[in-house]
Amino acid sequence: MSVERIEYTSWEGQKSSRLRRIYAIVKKIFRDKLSSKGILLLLIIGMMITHVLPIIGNSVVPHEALTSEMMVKTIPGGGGYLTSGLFILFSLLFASVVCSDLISRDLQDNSFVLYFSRPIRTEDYLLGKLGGAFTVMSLFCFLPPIAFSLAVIATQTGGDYIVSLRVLGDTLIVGIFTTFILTSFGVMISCLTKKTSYAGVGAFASFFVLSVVGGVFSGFDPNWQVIDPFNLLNYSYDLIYGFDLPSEVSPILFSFALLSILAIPTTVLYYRVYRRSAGK
Amino acid sequence: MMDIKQEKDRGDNVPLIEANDLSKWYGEVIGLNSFNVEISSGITGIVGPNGAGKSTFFKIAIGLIKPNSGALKVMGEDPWLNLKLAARVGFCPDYDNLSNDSTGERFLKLIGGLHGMSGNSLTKRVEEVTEIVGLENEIHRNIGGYSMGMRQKIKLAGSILPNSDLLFLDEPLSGTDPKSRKSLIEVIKSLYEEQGHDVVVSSHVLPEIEKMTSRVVLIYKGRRIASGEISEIRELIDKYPHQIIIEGSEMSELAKGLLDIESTISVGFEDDRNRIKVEVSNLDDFFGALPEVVVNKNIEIESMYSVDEGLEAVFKYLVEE
Repeated sequence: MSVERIEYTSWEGQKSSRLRRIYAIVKKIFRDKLSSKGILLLLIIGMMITHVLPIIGNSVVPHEALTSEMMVKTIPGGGGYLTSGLFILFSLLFASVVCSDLISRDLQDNSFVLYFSRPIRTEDYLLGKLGGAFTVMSLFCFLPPIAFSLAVIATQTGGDYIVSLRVLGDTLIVGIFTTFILTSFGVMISCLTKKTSYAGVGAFASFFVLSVVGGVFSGFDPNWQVIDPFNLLNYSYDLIYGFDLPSEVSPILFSFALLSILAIPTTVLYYRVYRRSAGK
Repeated sequence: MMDIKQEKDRGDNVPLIEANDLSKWYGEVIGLNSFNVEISSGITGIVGPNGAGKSTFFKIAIGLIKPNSGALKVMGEDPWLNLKLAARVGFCPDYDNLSNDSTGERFLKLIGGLHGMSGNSLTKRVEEVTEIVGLENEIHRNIGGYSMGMRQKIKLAGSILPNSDLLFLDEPLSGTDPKSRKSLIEVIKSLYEEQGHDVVVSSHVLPEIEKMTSRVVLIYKGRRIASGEISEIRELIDKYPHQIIIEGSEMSELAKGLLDIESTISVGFEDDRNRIKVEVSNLDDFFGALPEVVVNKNIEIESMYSVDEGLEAVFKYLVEE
């Protein structure tokens, strides 16, 4: 039988662009998440409570410049914008919801095949998934702190913009740092189970379990505080904004804990997805 | 085991797919067992009952899983972790992992994106493939509202979207109604005859494959038990005795009459006297002679069916179980 191609123009476009493939996954996640009413609702409520009120409050109160103290230092009767507890709590809640189904659903319904029957590497798949989650998470963890900083700078009465811009730079780092840690942690929990609900609750609960363990044992040795992810994030913010670690906390143990929370989720994630995608 | 050399339609001597002693096991369960096959250009059907190893073969062929032993070459290359080859191969899985919240268009654009396509060219290509599978009027609807046939078609569109040279279609007709099945069979035939894609398609229903191609590979318990032209395989199947159950009254009289038919090998009573099992060597001869016996002896038949209609029984004949 001979083949006659009838009225058919074959695809002759570029099929080797790696970034484009990763972008396709990022775009899908971003679009899916922002079309979810639950996520939009959580985003709006979290925005109002965590970001909008502090932005208004700090903008209307007379101030000379944007200072590190506004961002992180505890003040009598309240906390810094990022360390009052609300920011990390809502960020964690948001990460639990956003990341819970990213890998678990693929495990559940075998959507891995959708990706890995294409010219996609494990790394590309993970970068796409993490990138998509990072983009959504940044709507809460990255952009609002920048908006806060810009609003405060715009309404400052003093003329020292260098100090304010330095704090803005630190805020950029804090935003990326928080988004990365919570995203990679949430996606890691998602890769450990096929159940989306387990992944969502697991990400949220594991932070609290570590916090309780840290709280209980820090009574015996203050270094246990670094086990608590909330403390770990708060101390990291302090360092980024130029403050010192609490004197009772060992810098070595703190560094080790920080390295762990940065490296372990991505390592577990890669290993788990590679095992699944590359077959057995 | 039967071994029929396949004709090569395009005249090239390099097989499209070549498996040598391919084995894959999942713990103690064997997926493929020293599977050997050569597949050339055109449409080839892989036929076998559920659990025969069809999907395992497809997953190895597209590089999703690694065989435990043996070798497989797809278009001359090892598919394991071979992205270059993955770009040339399309796969339509047997299970449904489509997102119900997504529109057909969005699903296809995601597939295109995963192949590095974008922009107007991708939009144009999406239009082309939806036209090929006949979904041009449904493409903007949510997949959640699609019928089973439409879901199979959108999966099929996804597999041909990157204009792959070779398509693996795993049970593309499963769960579809007769109308959709007919339409899908026409689409699959056109993928080779009009679009020029080589196609390897699996099914557990031999007549379905028969409507798409005359070349089949029969697979059973992870092994290839026959391959070649369907007509030759049918002849082979016909060499083995068929069993027919007949139910009604006066079965003992019928049994006597049936023994006079030349193609009857044996007749035996089942649980009660109203049911007999007939073993025949040639179905056509038997059914040609049966009405005369029934009329002459004035017997009422309530039901009659073949116990080996299922492909499983055919395979058991072929492997002499």
